[in-house]
Amino acid sequence: MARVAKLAGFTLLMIFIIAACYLGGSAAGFIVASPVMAEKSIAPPAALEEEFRLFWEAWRIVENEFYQRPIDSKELTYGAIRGALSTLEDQNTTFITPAHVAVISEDLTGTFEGIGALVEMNEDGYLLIVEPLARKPADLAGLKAGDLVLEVDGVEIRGMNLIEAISLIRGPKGTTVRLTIQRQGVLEPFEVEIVRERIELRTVEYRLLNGEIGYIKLNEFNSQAPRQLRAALVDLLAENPRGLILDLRDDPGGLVTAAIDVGSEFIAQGVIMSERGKEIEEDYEAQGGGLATEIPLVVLVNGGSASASEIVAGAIQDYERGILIGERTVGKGSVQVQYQLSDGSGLRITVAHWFTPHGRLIEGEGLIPDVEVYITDEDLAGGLDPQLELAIDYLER
Amino acid sequence: MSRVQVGDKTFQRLSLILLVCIAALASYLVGFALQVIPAYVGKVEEREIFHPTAEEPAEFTVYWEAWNLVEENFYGELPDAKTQTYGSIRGMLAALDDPNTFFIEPPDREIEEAQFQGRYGGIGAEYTMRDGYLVVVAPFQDSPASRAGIRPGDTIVAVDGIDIFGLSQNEAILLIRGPVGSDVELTIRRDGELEPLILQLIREEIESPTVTWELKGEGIGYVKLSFFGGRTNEELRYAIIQLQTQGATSLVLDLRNNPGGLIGAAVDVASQFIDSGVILYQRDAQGNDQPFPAKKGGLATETPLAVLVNGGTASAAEIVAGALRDHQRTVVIGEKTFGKGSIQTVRELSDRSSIHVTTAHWLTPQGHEIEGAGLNPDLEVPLTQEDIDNQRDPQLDRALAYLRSLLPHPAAGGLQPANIMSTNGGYSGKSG
Repeated sequence: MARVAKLAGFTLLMIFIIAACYLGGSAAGFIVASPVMAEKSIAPPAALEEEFRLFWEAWRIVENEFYQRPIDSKELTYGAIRGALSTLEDQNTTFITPAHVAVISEDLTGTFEGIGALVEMNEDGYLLIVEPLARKPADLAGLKAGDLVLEVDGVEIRGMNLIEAISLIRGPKGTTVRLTIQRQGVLEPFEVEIVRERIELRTVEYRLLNGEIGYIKLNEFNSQAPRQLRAALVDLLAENPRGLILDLRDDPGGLVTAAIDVGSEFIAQGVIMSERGKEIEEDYEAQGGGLATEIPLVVLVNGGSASASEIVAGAIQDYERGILIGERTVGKGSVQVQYQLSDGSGLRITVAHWFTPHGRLIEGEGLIPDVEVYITDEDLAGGLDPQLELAIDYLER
Repeated sequence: MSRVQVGDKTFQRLSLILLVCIAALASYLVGFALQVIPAYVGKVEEREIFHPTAEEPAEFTVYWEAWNLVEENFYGELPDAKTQTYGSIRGMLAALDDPNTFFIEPPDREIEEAQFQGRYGGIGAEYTMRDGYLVVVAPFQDSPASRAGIRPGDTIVAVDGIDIFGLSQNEAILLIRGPVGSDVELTIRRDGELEPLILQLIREEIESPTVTWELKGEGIGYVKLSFFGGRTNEELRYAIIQLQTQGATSLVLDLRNNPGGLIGAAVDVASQFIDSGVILYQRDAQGNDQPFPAKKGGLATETPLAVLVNGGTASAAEIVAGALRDHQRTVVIGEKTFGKGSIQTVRELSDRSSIHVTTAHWLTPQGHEIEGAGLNPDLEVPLTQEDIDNQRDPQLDRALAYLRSLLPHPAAGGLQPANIMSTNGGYSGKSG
């Protein structure tokens, strides 16, 4: 319950695989880097000019009187931009320093070089290791779920956003990153050195359960996902299963095109998702030719299902194509465009929101499953999965 | 109460410069807790208006690039100009990475000013915010609030007919405050009453004392300073005179958990105990050291003295403890102090918001930098949880024992543990 509540709130919880490094808005899969024409004459909007004098009063006081020297106008400017963006109350609209712009463009390729851990930002502004991926560098170095990353190579994480924090951890394979870790039950923070590797995630995993139910787990919506899903469906459908389970739990999303492709395997026709923004009004239709548009279907979701996962699950729910079992989803359904500013820094702006075919807003709302089932700590400890069990029961009945 | 005659102008000038407490927050909390503390900081220097178009640095261009992109493309509500401006100022100050440099909106600034001033026009009650309304924690004795029958737990839902839901705590409190002698109407909800009560009160001058004192046995006066506000020095002088009249020949100055306050108040307070020399040096951004000399006319420049400090002793309180020790005017007893050696200036902006900006560090008369270091007491005496649970105060006991040892006494044997254990001063807390 607590977990659901947390997610339902507008706390930014995005589970990022450092690998695929789905950035704040990457779920949208709609990120465009478009260099901005930096006109020298760029000026404040007239309405703001009067009020903004206060800012220059403050700036001048700092410049003249602040004790620590030197004062870096560039840093002050970046701070002002961050402060202005914070008034939008949208955690996905973020400023990216020039140093971090490069790292972020690695997104969405399905591979990355890093330490292999699921992370999120906790409420105190530290990076929380949600899960080290088995046999990846983080796991091999002894990191555990629940560890807090305080510093990366001596740089304090607090005050950064998730994108910035992740960008520090990632780096070319073979290089070493030094993490300062706080672990419950250990008095002093300690340091861990980890050699980065190329991390590739298996996008789709599938198997036949009980000889009669096809189970497909989709870990992310990268460019490989539609092709791998189709292959999995071909394999599974050859066994004539009674039904299918599509597991989107802890799937942070990815490319919006992949979401439409994946949705089209299960939905024969109609709108899968609508995108609405200031200048944007677009309906994404099912492409037709889906392999699994009739077979009984259960979609598993939880508080880690975000973005593209929510597009697919929302469409399936709206068309009553299948039922959703599990926990309320994240509510990440906005589209960001990344712009480049004249000094090489980046700006990621929320330009649109997603709606399900029946017009439900995803952003901030999430999807409520048809059958809510929670996984308790005891379930986890005992290796039980009541959500999956219920899905099997449902399809076998 | 006699007003301070000396150095009034200097005081005004110095009082512009504020030493802000422990990580700013502490003092803020103290301020809010004591809410009703008033304060006069003196007028804040008017700043000339800066015209942005002329002098905007080239680096700032990216700000307007970014904001223009947001205005064109952001899907969602845009903030009004004021919100955006405040946010930008906050962000800019955050980039300095100094917890003591921050922005304060106008209502919070007014409350803060009242705290430094030590008095304001109000009804005399302490509040907390609950479910969007002000709840009375306690009315002050003999205040308009207590005389009107306001009780702890009463919920104030409206002030002069204005529903306060949606206001911040400080905004709501400012509605209740106002000129001395003016009327205020409160709508109050009270448990057990079906209908809201409507009370008419007349605002009075509410003072929040920062000095309490008490005569301990054997001619030892005990003075506790909780904050360095604009009236602290007057209050201290009054306390010293009262104690001396009652026969005090030595003093304990308790600066424990004192988060600091005005640097001018620190100089005035230290000057009660030091007749000449430097109280502190202020080091500015260019590395110049400016001495702040002791003022004449101190009331207790010869009186034997013990100063109590602990980890909550910060800023202005560390200045006083450091000066008295460097001048060998006192023994410092207790625990290591906080170590806040930076000085903030409060700069008011043209809309009455303000920023606290770290403008200097200060050094003790012997040139010790306090920032991050703190003062180590001459006599380290810890206070344990067990002491607190049993209402024991071994730090005060040690101070009393020390001062007693200075008295002409046949059995005085200095600071033998046996002596200290045998003293049973007891700590009765605030009085005065």
